[in-house]
Amino acid sequence: MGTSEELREALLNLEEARIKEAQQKEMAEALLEGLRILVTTTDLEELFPKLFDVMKEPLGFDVALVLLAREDGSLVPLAGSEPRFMQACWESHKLFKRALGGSPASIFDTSEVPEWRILPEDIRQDTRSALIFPLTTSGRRALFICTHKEPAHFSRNHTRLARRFSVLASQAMLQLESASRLAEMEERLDAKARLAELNLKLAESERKLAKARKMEALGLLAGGVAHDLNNILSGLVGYPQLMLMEEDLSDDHRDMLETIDDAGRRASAVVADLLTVARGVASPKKVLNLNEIVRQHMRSPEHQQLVMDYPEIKFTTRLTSGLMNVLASQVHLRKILMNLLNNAAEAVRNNLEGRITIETNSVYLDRSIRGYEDIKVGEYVRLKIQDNGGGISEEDLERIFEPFYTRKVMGRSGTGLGLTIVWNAMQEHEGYIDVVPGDDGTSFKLYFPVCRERLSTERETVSIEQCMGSGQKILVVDDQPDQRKIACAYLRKLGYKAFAVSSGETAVDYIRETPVDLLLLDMIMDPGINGFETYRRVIEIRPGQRAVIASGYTQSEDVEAAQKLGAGRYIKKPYTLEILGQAVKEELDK
Amino acid sequence: MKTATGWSVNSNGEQAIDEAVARLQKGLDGADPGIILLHASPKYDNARVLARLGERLPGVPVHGGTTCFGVLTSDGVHIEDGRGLGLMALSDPDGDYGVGFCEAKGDPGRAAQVALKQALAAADRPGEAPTVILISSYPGCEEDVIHALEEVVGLGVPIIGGTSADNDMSGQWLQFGNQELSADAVSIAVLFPLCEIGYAFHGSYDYTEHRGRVTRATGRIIHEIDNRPAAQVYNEWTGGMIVDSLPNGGSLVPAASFSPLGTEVGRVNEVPYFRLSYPVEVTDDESLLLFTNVSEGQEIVLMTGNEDSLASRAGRVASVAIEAADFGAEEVQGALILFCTGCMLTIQDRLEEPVAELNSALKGVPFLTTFTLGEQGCFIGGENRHANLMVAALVFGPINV
Repeated sequence: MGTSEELREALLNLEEARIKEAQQKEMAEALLEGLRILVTTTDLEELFPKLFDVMKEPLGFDVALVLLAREDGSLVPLAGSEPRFMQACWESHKLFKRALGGSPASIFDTSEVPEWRILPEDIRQDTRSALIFPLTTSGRRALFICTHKEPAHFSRNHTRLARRFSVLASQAMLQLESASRLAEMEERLDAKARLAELNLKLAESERKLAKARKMEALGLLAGGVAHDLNNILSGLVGYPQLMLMEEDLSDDHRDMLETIDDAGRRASAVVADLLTVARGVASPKKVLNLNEIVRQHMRSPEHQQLVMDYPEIKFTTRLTSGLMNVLASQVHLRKILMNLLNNAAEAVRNNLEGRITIETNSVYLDRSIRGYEDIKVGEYVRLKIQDNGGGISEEDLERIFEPFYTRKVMGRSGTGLGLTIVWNAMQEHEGYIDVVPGDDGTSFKLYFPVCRERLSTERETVSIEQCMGSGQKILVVDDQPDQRKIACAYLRKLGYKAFAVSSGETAVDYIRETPVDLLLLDMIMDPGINGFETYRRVIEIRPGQRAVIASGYTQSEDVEAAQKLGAGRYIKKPYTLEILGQAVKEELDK
Repeated sequence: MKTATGWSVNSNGEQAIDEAVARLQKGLDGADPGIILLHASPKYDNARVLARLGERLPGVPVHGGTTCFGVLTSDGVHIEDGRGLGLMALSDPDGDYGVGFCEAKGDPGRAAQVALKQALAAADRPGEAPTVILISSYPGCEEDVIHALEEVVGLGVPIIGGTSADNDMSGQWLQFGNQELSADAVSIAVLFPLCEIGYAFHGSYDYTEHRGRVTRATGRIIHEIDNRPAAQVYNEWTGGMIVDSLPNGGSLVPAASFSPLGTEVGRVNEVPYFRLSYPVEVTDDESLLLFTNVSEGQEIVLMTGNEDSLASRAGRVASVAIEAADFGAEEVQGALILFCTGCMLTIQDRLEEPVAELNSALKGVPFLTTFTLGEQGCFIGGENRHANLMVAALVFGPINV
């Protein structure tokens, strides 16, 4: 060793040795203190709390625990530096099994570890990183766990120190064992464990309930927004159509009106998304075959656009022939497909060999599937969409169905409602969703209850000429002035005599005095009685009164209840001239 | 823990793999490899090299990248006609290993985090801090990669690796991850061996009295030191060494190999230790282009070294790694050494010396040395850094009971 550089290196090594020595000394002092506690503590239940006090500073933990392994594979807290951690029951998965087998571990993010997933939310949040060490005694297996609320908190040095301290904890376990106190404590633990299990189940139920409530609240919010937007959009969608019917429009004005019309329709589509999120929205269901819906979707402009956006992705369909039918909303099924395929395309977009497979088959479910403790045993049609993307983390999996929870780059794609729409639509269809994350991609399996009815024939599209009326009297009941104006204008164009009132109460008075051939009835009117109540009162005066329900948003129970009383078709606002004409004609021709 | 190495200088990549695997398997003596580290010259058709390795050792995770010329092992120097490849296997039935690979596409930090997640999933240890992370990346992205990894796992995991190199700085470098390879990807290996490890990261240079503050810089270019053109200041510090490059700019490789710039990373009490930056070029505005990022306000120091020190360097860094570990030299099972390409080129006629030094320090156990365009390692104070002209050593010790 001759150069100054080598001398400097030797100096560095010397300094490092000095630092190590100082650390060793500090650790040795803490270990000695720990040994003193082991020797002098007479109340054995005080052993661990005292040891935790000594270890807290050198190990830098927030909370320390000793978990005792039980025969059924679960672990219960034998000791803890914080009382609330004593209530939790732990499950043993790969990590704990490995640790109980003798391998310590340092966890930088507990949210990715299965052992943490069943714990109550507050404990999970307060234990984002952890050190785990096995404790060895002759008879029992246990784990010594240090946790911290910050992720990636523990360093290699902490790990090294924890290994040394775990020897002390093992000694404490031995003392309890040899004094026969362990069995006594364990009896108490069994009772605690049962309580903890119950608490765990309760916490899990509460978590699910909270999630359901959150989704419901967001659904209501979305529905409310959609309802208001719909009213605003009605003018935007309705008036251009009326104006475009004028023959003396200049080309420039026609272009401008068509642009407004197009923008209005696109805005309506966005509102339609929101309405799908809003639970309970009336969406007509009919007998459908999922294979046909998939084929239609693959030919649709939306899917063609997706193919153009992601030319590197290979889409494959595997549709089982003879697939059973489902009772479903065609609109919802198309939205489910569109959103899941968009999502899958996002997941594989960086993969030069990106593959997305759409598969259907009929299955019989007789056992629970992931995420559902109880399922209705029976026949289901399964739609499976599989990608070979990067997969979904367990953390994301918990939240992917929440509105606006998105990993996509904002502005590039998605409104953050895609998977929420899927979730809500599946609730509407009383189906189940099983998301299977894997190393080689993700699969979404959707289960729809089978419907034994045969396919209903498609409603034929009719021309405006076929919808024309012959002077029948129609009363429009709507609290929105724009809506009344547009509806009356459409109906007059269609050859009907149209009148309008702004509330249910006025409608009832009107009907009492003047019979009409048909009511075009809004469902939510503020203030005053709603569409259902209006119809109920009307039929007391005019039994068998014909009616078409038109609404942007309503509770499906109200629509269904009115229909049970005799009301006819439901059409969603904003509607086109053709849709209104067809619904009115159909009802009058009954 | 069992380690073994294999090498070849066969000009046919597939035959080279066959030869290297045969040597590797002999060393493994029937043990199954948990992970393979592959470093091969860019002169090979490395897609075929990887494919052949996959055929010979199916299902074993592969991590690595290209090396300048070839490799060193305990058997000697494996370079012939600018070509050579080496394999290192870690075998540890109860350990876990995983490799992830992601093309950067302009965002190496994201790629590093994606690859890390893949690697942890492959090792079946999601959320768990590995004993050590190995990285293989491309020139210019190293700091981003280290930062992104530390964002996820924290500061407590040593990150060790090398910037994949080619033979002539023409951009032929590649990173390997399982069966994938790319010129702008990040390959990550996570190791969860049952054994203890030791590591060290040192430059073979001493500091001088010449020091100044960077007053204007952009990325990897120093425009001014103490408000004067950087190349002029560097020329003065080195006694006029680059005077010929001053008027119109030009390459400083290998002229600057013994006169890199250092940045103090930390001090152990009062003794400083440095990250080295290689000044590779004088630009036409008298700025200096480095191989590491530099920031304004940073103090830089002229470092100095010599051939003898470079030749003995790898062995000494390996010894330091052993001294830093909780085991003795007799217990070492194997080692991975990342050695600066610039240093290797300076002593390329003396490469038998580092082999001898390493064999002496490591008591003859298997080791693999690869030559890199930048080194990443963990300093004495625990800081993970990217630097130039360095040697990074990772030694594997006995099974930890």
